[in-house]
Amino acid sequence: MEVVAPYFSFWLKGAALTLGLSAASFPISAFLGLIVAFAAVSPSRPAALAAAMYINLFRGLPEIIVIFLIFYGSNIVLTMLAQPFGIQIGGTNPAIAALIALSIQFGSYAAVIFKDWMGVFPRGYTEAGLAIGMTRLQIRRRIVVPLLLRSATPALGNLFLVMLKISALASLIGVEELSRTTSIIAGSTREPLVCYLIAAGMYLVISAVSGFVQHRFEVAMERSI
Amino acid sequence: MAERETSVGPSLSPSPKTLLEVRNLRKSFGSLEVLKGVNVKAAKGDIVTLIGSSGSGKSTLIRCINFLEEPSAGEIVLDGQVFPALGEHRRTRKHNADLIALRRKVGMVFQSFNLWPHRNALENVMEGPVQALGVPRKDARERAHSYLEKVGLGDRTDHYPSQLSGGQQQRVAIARALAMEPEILLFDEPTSALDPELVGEVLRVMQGLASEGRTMIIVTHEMQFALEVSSEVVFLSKGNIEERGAPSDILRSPKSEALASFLQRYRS
Amino acid sequence: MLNFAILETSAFWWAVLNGLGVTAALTVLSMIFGFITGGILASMNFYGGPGVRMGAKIYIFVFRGVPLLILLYLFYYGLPRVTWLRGSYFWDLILTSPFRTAVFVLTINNAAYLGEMIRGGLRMVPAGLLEAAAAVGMTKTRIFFRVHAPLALRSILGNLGSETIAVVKASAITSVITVRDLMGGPTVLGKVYLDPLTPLLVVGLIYVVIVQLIDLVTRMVGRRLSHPGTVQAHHV
Ligand SMILES: Nc1ncnc2c1ncn2[C@@H]1O[C@H](COP(=O)(O)OP(=O)(O)OP(=O)(O)O)[C@@H](O)[C@H]1O
Ligand SMILES: [Mg+2]
Repeated sequence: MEVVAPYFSFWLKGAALTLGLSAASFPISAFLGLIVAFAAVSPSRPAALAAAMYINLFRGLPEIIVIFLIFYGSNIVLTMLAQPFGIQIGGTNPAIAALIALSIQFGSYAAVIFKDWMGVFPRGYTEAGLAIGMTRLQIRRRIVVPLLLRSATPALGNLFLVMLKISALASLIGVEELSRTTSIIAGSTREPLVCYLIAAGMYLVISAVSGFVQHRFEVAMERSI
Repeated sequence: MAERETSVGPSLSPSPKTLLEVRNLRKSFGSLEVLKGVNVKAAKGDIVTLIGSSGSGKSTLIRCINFLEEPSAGEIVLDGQVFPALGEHRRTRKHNADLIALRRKVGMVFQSFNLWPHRNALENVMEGPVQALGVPRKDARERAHSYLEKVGLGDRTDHYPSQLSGGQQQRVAIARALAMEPEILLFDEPTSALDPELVGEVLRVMQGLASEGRTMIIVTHEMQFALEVSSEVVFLSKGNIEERGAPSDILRSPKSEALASFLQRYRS
Repeated sequence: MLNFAILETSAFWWAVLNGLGVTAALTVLSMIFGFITGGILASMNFYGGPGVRMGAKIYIFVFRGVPLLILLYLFYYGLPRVTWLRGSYFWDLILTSPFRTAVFVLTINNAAYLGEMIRGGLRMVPAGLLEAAAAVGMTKTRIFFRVHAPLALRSILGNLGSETIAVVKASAITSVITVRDLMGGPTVLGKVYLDPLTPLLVVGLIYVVIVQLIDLVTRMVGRRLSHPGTVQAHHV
C-alpha cells in the first residue's frame, strides 16, 4: 500500500479524466440520439432507413472495435488528407478519438431509448399543440423533447453509468484516464493486484456517486411535474 | 370537382354570412368509411351539438374540421376561406402554412384535456399566444391570467396539471383554447372523462361562453345541456347525418327509429 | 496506405474462423455459468435473510460497477501475484489460461446482470400463484422448482436475446488478456501486417451480422414470449 501512495495524485487525475470524458461525450450522445430517434420515426423513408442502419450497426459493434476503428481510421484519413500538402501530422489525439467513438456509439444507444419513449408518447399532447396552430418544429422543441427527456431520465442515467465503465477502453488507445494510469502505476510499482483493486474501488465510488446524483435528480424531476 | 383539385390554398367563397361550413365531408380509415358526405353549417354565434352513438363518427368529424384528421374528400370553409381535403395530393409547405392559419382561428377542447404535464396552468395557456401568435410574453401572461380568471381558476395559475382535478384541468384546457381568441370553438365530449360531480363546473363555463355569443361545435352526451344551449342539434348515425334541427324538435320528438332508440338509452 | 493484402492470406481467415469459435465458446459458457450463478444470487436476494441478501446485493453492486477491463486485468495480472494461491485448484483451473480466465471473469460479471434480471422475473410472479401452490400442500423447495422458477423463467426469456448480445459484445474485451477471440485473433495478425484497420473492419462487420442473427432468432422464438420494449443490455 505504501508503495502506491506517492502515485495518488496521478490516480486522481486519471479519475478526473474518466469523469470528464463521459461528461463530455454524454450530452453529445443524447443530442445525437434525439436526432436519430426523430429520424427513425419520421415519415421520410430515407431518414428512417438511415436511422435504422445507424442504430443496428452500433447495436452490433463492440465498443472496443469502435474505439480502435475511430482511432486508427482517423489517423489514416488525416495522413491521407495531409499527404498532398506535405504536412506531417502527429496523429489523432487519443482523447478526441475516444470522445468521438463514445459519442457515436452511445448516440445509438440513446436513440433506442428515445425511440422507445416516442412510441408511447401520448398523441394528445402533440394534438393539443397542433390544435393551437403550433408548427411541428415548435411542438417538438417545446413539448416532445422536454417530456421525452423527463421520461427517459432513468434510462439515460443508467446509460451514463455504462459509459463511465466503457470509457475504460479509451486506455487501450493511450488516453490517460483511470484505467491507463492504473496500468502505468501497476507497471512501475510491480503491484498490479493492489493497483487494480484500488482502481476497482475508485470506479465503484464514481458509479455510486453518479448513481446518487442521478437518483436525486430523478426525485427532483418528479417533484417538478 | 375539377375546381377543388386545382385550388390548393384558400380562396374566396360567395357566402360570407356563414362562419364555418363543412361541405360534403368524407373520411375513410382504410376500407372503413366513417363519414359518408357530411354537411354542417354554423353562422356566427351558432352552437351546433353533435350527438350519436359510439363509433358514429362524431370525433372524426370534429377532428376533420381542424385537420387533426385528414379528410378524404370534401372541404372546410372558414370565414370564406376554402380548405379542401387533400385526397391523394401530397402536402406542400403552403398547405401546412394554411392549416396552421386555420388552426389558429379554431380552438379545440379534448375529451382527455391533453394539458402538457411539464407546464403549469398559466404556461399551458400562454403557450399558444406566445408560440403560435407571437404575442409578447408579458401580454400573453396577462391574457392567460384573464382567461384563467374567466374559467374560475385565477387562484390556480401556478398549479401543474397533476395537481388539478379533472374538472379544473378541463377548465384550464378551455382557457388555453380561449387564449387564442379563436373564431370558433370545438369541443369533443369535454365532460366524458370527468367524475359525475365535476361535470357541472365545466358545463357552467361552457354555458357562460354560449351566452357570450361564441360560435361552438360540441360533441356531447349531455342531452339536457344540448337542449338548453344548442341552436342546432345534429344526429350522426353510421357516418351520415340522420336528423338535424332545433334542439326541442330533435331531442323531444325524434322522427327516425335510430334517433328514438338512441335517445331512449339516455333517459333514465 | 490502405491495402487489403491481409485479406489474401489464409492465416487471417483461419484466425477469423477460430476467433468465431472462441467467441461462441466464451459467450455460451459464460451465459450458462452466469445464469446458474445469477440464479443463486437471485434466490439469495429473494429468499435469504438480511445477511444473505446483503451479500448478494454487494456482489451485484461490485460486479456491475467495476469495468470489465479492470476485472480482466485484476484476475489476469493481479491475482497471479497472490503466492498462496499458487498450486491451488483455482490457480490450475482458471489462472493458467487466458481463455479460462476470460470465461471466469465474464461469468462473474454476467452473474451480476443476470441475477438482477432473474430477481425481476421472480418478482413478476403473482404472489397468489405461490400461495395457491402452498395451499395445495407443496413444500417450499417444490414450489420454487415447480411453480416459481418456471414462471419466472418464462417472463425473462424475452430478455435473453439482448443479454446474449451484451455478452457477445463484452467478450471482445477479453482480447486485452491475449484471448484469440473474434476480436483478438485477427487484430493480432493486423499488427503483424502493419494493417490494424482492415481486420477491425472485417471483424466489426461479422459482429454486426452475428448480433442481427441473434436478434432474428430472438424475434422468431420470442414472438409469443417477448414483452414490448425489452431494453438494450450492456455487460461491461
Ligand atoms: N385512427 C383511426 N384508424 C382507424 N379507425 C378509426 C380511427 N379513428 C376512428 N376510427 C373508427 O372510426 C369510427 C368512428 O370513430 P369516432 O371516434 O369518430 O366515433 P365517435 O362517434 O366519436 O365515438 P365515441 O362516442 O365512442 O367517441 C369508429 O369505428 C372507429 O373505430
Ligand atoms: Mg369520440
